[in-house]
Amino acid sequence: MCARTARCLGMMRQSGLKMAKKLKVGIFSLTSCSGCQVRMLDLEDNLLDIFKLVDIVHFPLLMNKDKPVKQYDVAFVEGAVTTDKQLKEIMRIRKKSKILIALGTCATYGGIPSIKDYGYTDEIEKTVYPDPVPFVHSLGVCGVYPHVKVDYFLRGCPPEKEEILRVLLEVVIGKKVPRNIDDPVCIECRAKENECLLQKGELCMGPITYGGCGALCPSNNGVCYGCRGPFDDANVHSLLKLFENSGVSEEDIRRMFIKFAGTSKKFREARNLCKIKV
Amino acid sequence: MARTIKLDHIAKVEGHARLRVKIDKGKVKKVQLEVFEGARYFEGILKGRKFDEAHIITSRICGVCSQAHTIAAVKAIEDALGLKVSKQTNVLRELLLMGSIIQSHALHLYFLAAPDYFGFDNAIAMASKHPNLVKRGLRLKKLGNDICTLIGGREIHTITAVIGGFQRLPGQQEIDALRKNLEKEMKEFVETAKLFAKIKYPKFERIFDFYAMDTSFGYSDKEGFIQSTMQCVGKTCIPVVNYSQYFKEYIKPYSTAKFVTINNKSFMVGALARVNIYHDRLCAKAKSILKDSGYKIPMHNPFLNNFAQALELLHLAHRSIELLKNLKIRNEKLPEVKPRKGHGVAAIEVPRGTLFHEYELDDKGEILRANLIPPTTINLKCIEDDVKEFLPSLLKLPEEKLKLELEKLIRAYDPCISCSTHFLELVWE
Repeated sequence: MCARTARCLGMMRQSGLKMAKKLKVGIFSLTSCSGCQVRMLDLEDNLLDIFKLVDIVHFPLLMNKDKPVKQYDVAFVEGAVTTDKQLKEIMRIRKKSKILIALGTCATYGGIPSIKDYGYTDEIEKTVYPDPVPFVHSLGVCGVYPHVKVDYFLRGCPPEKEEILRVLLEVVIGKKVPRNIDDPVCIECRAKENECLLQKGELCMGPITYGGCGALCPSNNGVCYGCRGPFDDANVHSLLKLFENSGVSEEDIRRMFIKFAGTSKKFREARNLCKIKV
Repeated sequence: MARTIKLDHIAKVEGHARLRVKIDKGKVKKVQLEVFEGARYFEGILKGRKFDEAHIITSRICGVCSQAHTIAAVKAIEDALGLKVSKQTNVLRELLLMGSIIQSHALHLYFLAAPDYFGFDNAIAMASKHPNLVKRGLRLKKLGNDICTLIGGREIHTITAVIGGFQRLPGQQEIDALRKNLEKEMKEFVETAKLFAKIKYPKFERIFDFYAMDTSFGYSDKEGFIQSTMQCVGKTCIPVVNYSQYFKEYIKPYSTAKFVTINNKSFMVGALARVNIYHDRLCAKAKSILKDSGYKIPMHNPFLNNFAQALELLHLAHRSIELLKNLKIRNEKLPEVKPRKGHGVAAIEVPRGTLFHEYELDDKGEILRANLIPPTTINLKCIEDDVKEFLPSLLKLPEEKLKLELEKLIRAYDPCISCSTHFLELVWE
């Protein structure tokens, strides 16, 4: 836990976790692996404090009955929008929420399920459901952002539990928009003095990917897959050049840019740059 | 007159599903378990992806049992590539899976199932009356997560497990510290097993077959992870390689999840199946709690799946300690992996039962075909059949109570809807 979050939680504990008015928090789930909901429960040490600190009114993984509310102070939404019903649902949630937070990469970019839109969709759907099932047909997969305004993107597959806690506490103390960290994974990786995987000729997305994970994958000797998506000033072009120069096949590059955040503007541009199909 | 009741979203299960039931003149006419989780087409997505991406992509099928998919995928790909892994890798994979099952069972028992039996809507409400119960659940869940983090790099969506082994090995000091922690909390695992032995489960029995891998991790005296057969109590064994010849997988017009049967009959996989088949392999303490409970093996009451999960928790904690005690990490290099044409199958025991992954690779190592059968897909039909038999005994109950009993039955299976979708609302018709 970062020092600031710890201090924040400490102060709240001292005050007996009594807030003037408990915030109404809704946790919603669209098409997903439910990992982001589980991620909230992974905050084992702080979970009971959180239950006291805020009023959780909707949490399908944990609660049977919703608490009826006129408005959600904060809505956390996990999962991608893949059906018309979910599209209506996300519009409804937005209308009823003061702050809407996209929880995880699916809610931010569509995540892994969005890969399907970069092949031949019909063929992919037929692979799984050989005989046409009329109701099984999904929309173009994307995050919640193109459909509704999002106040904060809690990126990552999975999102970092520390970041979930920090964002929740920032909202509790009255911030309308939580602080956004805009550094690439590369900076966090160098700070940890990890051996550079790019220099070893591996396909690492660290230089162009949003940090905040503490360069977790490279610190475990694995390349960054770009699960947090491209950060705002990412120089995708130069990374592409580097990949091409080190003899990586176009197909491998294509697969790298169509994985977690294929729907992002930056990655779409990247694919145009190297004339990769789709 | 036909009775129409709606139970729209079955909560406290992983994913989105509902149940549709039609009752006419006191007779149950129709039971449909409808999964309306958005289809994600994983088998389609995998087509054209590289062999070394399968475990990264399939991990995202489920956030509750991501390690299960990771390990099943790497094993199936290794099978296709003809790759053998070291003894240490097998031990670490078994530990990772056990961590996954401990956190999953703890989450299910204390946060999803326990509120039902203690008369609360949810764990948050339960926490205000029984804080110690919720705290214990959190501690056990955390221990499972600690194992996953130590071996896999983080709680969910494992980083380190790759084809051929582990790209980062845990430190010896951390291993010893984790073992001590587990030893310290052992009595919490014992208390959990005792608690779920005492719960008054609804009286209901239905005879169906149980299946589990005969070398289920943790239950095996042999070295884990040997591909072998599925076993049915006292009946035929199914060799894993030929699973598709025995399984009938079919699509129903009301569900995005598929259904699976053997010989047109539903069957159950999961904790209850494993305990029924391998009760004699449980650790001594779990065996004695099972004996004292008075339940006879095989247990045919699906609600007892919760008791079986609690027994497994205790057994797996015990086994984890044993494995960690004997684990002396050696520095191993990952084997060089060359893509080649091949076909591979893996079946492993995961929190909710047996999980199948099958892949076909071309000579460049690209995936030509993938077939995934998660345990909940297998259990869905079993749940439907259970509801059909359980329902008539409930018809005199007031609607709210009736719905709750049905939900309890469904929850006892700990269904994982995201996995099976390729899950739960209850709609009465």
